[in-house]
Amino acid sequence: MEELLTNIEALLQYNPLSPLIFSSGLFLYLFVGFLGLYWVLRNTTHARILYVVAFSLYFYFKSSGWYFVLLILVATYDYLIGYSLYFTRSPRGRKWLVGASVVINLALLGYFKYTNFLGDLANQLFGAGFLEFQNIFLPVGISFFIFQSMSYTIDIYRGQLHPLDSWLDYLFYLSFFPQLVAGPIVRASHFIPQIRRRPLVTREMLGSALFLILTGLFKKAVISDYIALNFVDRIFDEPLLYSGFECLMGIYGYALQIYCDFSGYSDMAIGLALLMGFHFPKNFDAPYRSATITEFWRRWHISLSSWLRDYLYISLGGNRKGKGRTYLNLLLTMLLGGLWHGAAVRFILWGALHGVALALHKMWLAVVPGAKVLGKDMNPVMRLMGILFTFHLVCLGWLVFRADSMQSAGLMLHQIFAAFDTKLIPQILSGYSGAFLLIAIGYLLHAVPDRGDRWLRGVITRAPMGWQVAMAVAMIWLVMQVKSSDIQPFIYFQF
Amino acid sequence: MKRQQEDYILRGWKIALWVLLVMVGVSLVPPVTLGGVELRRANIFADLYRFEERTTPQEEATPLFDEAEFEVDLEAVSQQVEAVQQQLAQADTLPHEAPTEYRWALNEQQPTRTEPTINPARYSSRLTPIEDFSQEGLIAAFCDTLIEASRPIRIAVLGDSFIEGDILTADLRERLQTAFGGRGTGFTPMASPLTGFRRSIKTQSKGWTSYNIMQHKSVPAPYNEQFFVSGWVCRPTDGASTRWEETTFRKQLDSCSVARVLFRSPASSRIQLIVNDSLNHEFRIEGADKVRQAVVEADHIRSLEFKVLEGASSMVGYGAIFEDGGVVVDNYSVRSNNGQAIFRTNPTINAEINAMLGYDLVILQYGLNIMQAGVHKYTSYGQQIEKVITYCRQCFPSAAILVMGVSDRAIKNENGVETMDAIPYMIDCQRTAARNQGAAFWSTFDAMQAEGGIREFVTKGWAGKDFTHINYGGGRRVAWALFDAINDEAAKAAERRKRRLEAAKPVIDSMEQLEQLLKPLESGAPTFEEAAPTVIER
Repeated sequence: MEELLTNIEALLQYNPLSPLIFSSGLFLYLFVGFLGLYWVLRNTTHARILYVVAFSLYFYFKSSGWYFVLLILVATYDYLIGYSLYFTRSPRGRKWLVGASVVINLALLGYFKYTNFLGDLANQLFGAGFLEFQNIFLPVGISFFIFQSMSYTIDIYRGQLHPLDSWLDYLFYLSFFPQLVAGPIVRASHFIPQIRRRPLVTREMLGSALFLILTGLFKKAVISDYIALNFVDRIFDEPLLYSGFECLMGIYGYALQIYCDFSGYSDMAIGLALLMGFHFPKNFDAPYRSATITEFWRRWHISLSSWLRDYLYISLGGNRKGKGRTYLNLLLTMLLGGLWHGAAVRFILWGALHGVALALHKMWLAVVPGAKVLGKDMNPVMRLMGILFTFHLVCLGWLVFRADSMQSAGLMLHQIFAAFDTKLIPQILSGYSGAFLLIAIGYLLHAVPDRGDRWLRGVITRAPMGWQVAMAVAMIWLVMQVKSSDIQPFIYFQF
Repeated sequence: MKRQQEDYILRGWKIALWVLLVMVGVSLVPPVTLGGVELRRANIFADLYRFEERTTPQEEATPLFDEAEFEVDLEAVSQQVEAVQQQLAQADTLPHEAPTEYRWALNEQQPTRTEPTINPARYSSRLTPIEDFSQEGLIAAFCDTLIEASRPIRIAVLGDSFIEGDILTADLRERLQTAFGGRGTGFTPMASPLTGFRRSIKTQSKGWTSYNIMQHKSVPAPYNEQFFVSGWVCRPTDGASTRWEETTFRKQLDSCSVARVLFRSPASSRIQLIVNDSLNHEFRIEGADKVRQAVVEADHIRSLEFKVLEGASSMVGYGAIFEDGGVVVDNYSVRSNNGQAIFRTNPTINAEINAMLGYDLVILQYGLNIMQAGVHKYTSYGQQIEKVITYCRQCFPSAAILVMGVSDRAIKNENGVETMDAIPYMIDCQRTAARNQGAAFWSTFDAMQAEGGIREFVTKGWAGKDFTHINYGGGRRVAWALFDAINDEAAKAAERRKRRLEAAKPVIDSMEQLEQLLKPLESGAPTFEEAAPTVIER
């Protein structure tokens, strides 16, 4: 009993090694408790808001410790700046205020996210010891909530949003736990009107929520986690130990892994918010079905790409300052978008690759008559060719994004083009049958048209509660089986 | 309408609650095997409470390996090795014997060993000592050689994929060479699909077909009978070449002063060596049914190219050894070998190569691929390990044998990632084999545990996510621990030497006094003091 109490205490403490994620057992127990009281408080607006904020701050504390104070700090100064903006009439004053918000936010982001990187870079350029400082802790989700907060002050500055009357409401928006650590980046203009509205969950919302949570779990905790551990990671770790075929499959696997991981988690966030009566926008829309790179960015991490478009690309001048400037703006936007993903040269290169591809596609659209942006407007052959081309271009980007170094990325390409080794294929397929089966399932499900999604959503929505419980239990059981399954040995070695 | 809307938040909660309750029930279901598929316990409270799973240890799994395939007649091995030794002993008396060694000396000075210094500083968190079970104290004798010998000290590390690509050995070599002198990466195969992975030397091979000992059944005759412990035989075509280039991957590797290429040439052939891409030399090799070596000596060998110009049809290449006057560590790793592949090597070839090199220590790193979760009995594998030790002793009679215990390995189950239950039993089997055969034993597992164990290795990026294979980073930690163990023994050897010299001092002093007394009687003859400067000048 004493051991159990000690374990409970340890489990509820801040532990940087085990952040509170939706696919954990702890989240399930906490959420059951949370949702019950949420229902009780559904009609008492203030108490409900306070309660959700407290739970969200605890959720953040569990992952980032006392850095939840930072979240409160950001909420406070942007709330105050937003409020002041509304009452400031002089354009100069308004510019100063919005400038202050942007500078403080970017400075915070820069300090926490990029100081280590810049320090390392300086030490590499000017010798070890050029810059010395402690390794700075990166608060979880800082890139998401800083961007969210910036959207609030900029929207007020642009006159598109009224500021909130209550600081607590603003903290509610910024700290709302479903989207807090991994997005989607929810716009203030979209979310704020929902805060004080009495929560409303329809049968369809509940069905969609279950659909999103269960498919999200499958994508994140079954496909992504399994193929990462049992196939993809080992290839990126030591590409020279693997044949070109394995390296190519490693890249395809990673493309699926990152999609399933990110979109699965986003889906769970959207589903959890729906259970509480909140609507989030769609964040991923089967991105590998894109026939052009421009279409890809309308389907991949939509909340980020639209944020970058509205607050960075348009602020840089968008396409209003001539063709050359448009291409440059695209490139800059994607470079910074790459840097947003993390402080490393590989993310910048990844951003540059997408920036160049987007600019070239824009040029292509201007030069080639009849060129289309979206696959649905193309003929089937062109569309298929476009999908294959775009997918491989995106995979090239993922190679740069995932590889430890450019040397490692080069080695993988070398293996693919110089040591493909087709005769090993049967042995590899049978040796990694579990991983390949999941990769195949992942891509097949990705190819299922939207009406397939709608059908399954309908089935879950219409199912009686007992069946809904059974489906959820089955999925959790599957997740736990996969989580505790034997690690696929490195077949290439056979020790 | 209002009531209905509210019900769906409540229903969401009810679903979540029911899911939790059902999962609590599911947690009580013990692991089961259904249709051959093992289903784990789905314990939703794994963070809080762990069930003690009752597992019945399996008997020795059958068949862990094909014993018939690895049958060995140790008596016959002994006779073959003796025949080589007799032949070598009689070499001078035979009318004409084709040369074994083809030497090309470019250097101005012979490689010499730098005086070893014992530095007691530790590289690992905790000393994992070597357990020497030999009556003669073979590890102590090896360490005496390590600190005293004025010739190269040779260590062969025989292992599986755990050390593939010079993992572990690269760092063991670096530490030993830094402490006791020596340069060069040691043995590297002529050609293999894995040379690209090895970072301690660059290898470019053309025109070779490589055969691996693990696929010996599909290797054509006579190549299948010509394996050395390296596990690779390489068959050239005329014009085949291999170029090795030293690297700066670890200290002491960027250049060396001796390179030897090992090959067989039963028929006459012509080969060429190119040093540093500039100087070249051709040798006409007289046909003879034995292993040959082409040796290059130069002050700074940074690259070496070996070309087969003629007579490739019967030739076999093994590889090259890059060395200096000090410690040489040769990595002989064969993927998926549990140790028994050595029985498929040719004892005559092993003995011939040992006659050229003379190994001082053979380290055996095996067992990882025999171990299975739930299997606690490894008696027959232990017997095979004893045979491997005997075999090594026959082929490398001058070497001490050190058995490395199995490394840490973890598996995943309902409680997360846990150390494999079979490990203590495998270690016990290996230690017993070493004890029975009077070899030495060193526990790799203990050394890894001292650094946090395999889970910590994975977390720190020192091991692969199979929780089995270490990488160069992990190899460095294990190598440092093994170096500490050897260094600890070497410190004892240095202490012994010091005591020996101190004990001998009165004798040396009295000899000198005697010399002084005899001096007037030996007029005209140079004394020790007079002769000494001449020796130094020379």
